[in-house]
Amino acid sequence: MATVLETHGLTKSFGGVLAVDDVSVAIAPGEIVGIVGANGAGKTTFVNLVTGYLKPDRGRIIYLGRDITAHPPREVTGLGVARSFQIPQIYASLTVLENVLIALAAREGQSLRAWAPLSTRVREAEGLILLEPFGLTEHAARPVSELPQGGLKLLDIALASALMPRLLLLDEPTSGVSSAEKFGVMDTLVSILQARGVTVIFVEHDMDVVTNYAGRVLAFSEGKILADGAPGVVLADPAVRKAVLGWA
Amino acid sequence: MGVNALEVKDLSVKLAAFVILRGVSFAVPHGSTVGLVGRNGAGKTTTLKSIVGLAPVLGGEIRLDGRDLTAVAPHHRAGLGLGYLPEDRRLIASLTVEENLRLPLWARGERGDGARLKLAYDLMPELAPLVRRRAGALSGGQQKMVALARAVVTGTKLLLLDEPFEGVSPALSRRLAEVIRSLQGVAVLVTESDANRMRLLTEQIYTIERGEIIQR
Ligand SMILES: Nc1ncnc2c1ncn2[C@@H]1O[C@H](COP(=O)(O)OP(=O)(O)OP(=O)(O)O)[C@@H](O)[C@H]1O
Ligand SMILES: [Mg+2]
Repeated sequence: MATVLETHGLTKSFGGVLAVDDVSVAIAPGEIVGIVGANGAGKTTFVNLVTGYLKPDRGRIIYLGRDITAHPPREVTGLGVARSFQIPQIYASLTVLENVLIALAAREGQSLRAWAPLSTRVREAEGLILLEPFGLTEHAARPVSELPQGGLKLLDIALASALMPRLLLLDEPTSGVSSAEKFGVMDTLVSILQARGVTVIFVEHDMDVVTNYAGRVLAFSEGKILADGAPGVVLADPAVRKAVLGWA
Repeated sequence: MGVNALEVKDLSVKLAAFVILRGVSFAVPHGSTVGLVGRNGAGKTTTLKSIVGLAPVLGGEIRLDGRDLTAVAPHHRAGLGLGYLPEDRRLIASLTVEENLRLPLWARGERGDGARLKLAYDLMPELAPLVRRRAGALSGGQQKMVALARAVVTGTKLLLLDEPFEGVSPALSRRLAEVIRSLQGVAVLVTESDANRMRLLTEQIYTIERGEIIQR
């Protein structure tokens, strides 16, 4: 079976801390995979390795059959792997819509120095449509610096999905998003991504969100995958309950 | 000294053209924990920032043990026994965990060997393996724990905790809730977007919506 992503023996340590320890996993096209784990278990490090933000000490990363180990982030993004947080950067002094226009321009390969205007009618309309499911349309004209923390989070996800990736990695997409809003946001996000056939890996601490939206769960503990399978099975595993939930 | 550690009356804050808080009033009795629940952008963070002096207060009163804080310069407020856990943690990335925890004591001219530091370490033994590590190299949840410890170090009277469980695993959330509940003689004001999670800590909850308290 063809996979979107494979890691083989992926390992990364920082000084004496073994953050990711010999992780091998294969992810099929269209899968929606949740990553859970205690704080410091290595989830973000795993995301950073896959997206090229960190170089592994050992191991390989295969994306669509191609070895992308230690490729720089820009190249990884160019191949269709996006992540929430850093890509593209949120420009705090610009408005919400301006940030989206930059992302759309970047997706079309337009350099920011080019003379072509960033803002065309069509692109503005597309930008507003993109913001809509995240409830950000009404904030389109506001400078990003005025958004609450949760709004920033949503904008980050909107920007990452604007890149039309094949594989999208979201590091805690709903943390900072209020509980009244998180399910609505995940509903729209997941249905948009599923319709486009995007493979999604999301790190999450809210077990209700994991249960509702992940088709498969990886439980990380001390840099290793402790359990891998359907949410109901993994989250019922006594070892996982102890490590992640704090009770047996 | 009255029954309330903190009293907020008719607080109004405006940022640029936007009214963020309008006439917010509530109180935190001595030794008790009060929650402020609301959605993103409802005004929770701005309320806490007004108390520590990081938001421009347009009108109203903020009293700590009866003393009007709006008349106290922001950098002098921590010395009055406020401990603040900002939503985005705000640790100094290049310093170690231990240095981050001692910094507020040094800033007040105290030797960094205070009893509060020991209290924080006693309450959170999870900090022990992290003390010599750079704060910037910690995971998101580890940073949250350190930021809570820092709030405990300065917060002898009042702790202001902005979404302490965000980005924290269920296991650590339960532990942090235990730590917060076990603090003696300190008033606590916590924000949270999830009313159910807030009930881990307290039943005294105010709901804030669009800059106004709509229910208690
Ligand atoms: N740049 C770094 N330098 C040193 N240690 C690091 C660095 N980044 C991460 N670590 C350590 O590696 C371990 C794994 O961190 P990581 O950020 O991957 O955890 P996580 O599972 O994402 O945790 P959280 O849920 O709290 O975000 C932690 O012990 C962390 O302190
Ligand atoms: Mg993380």
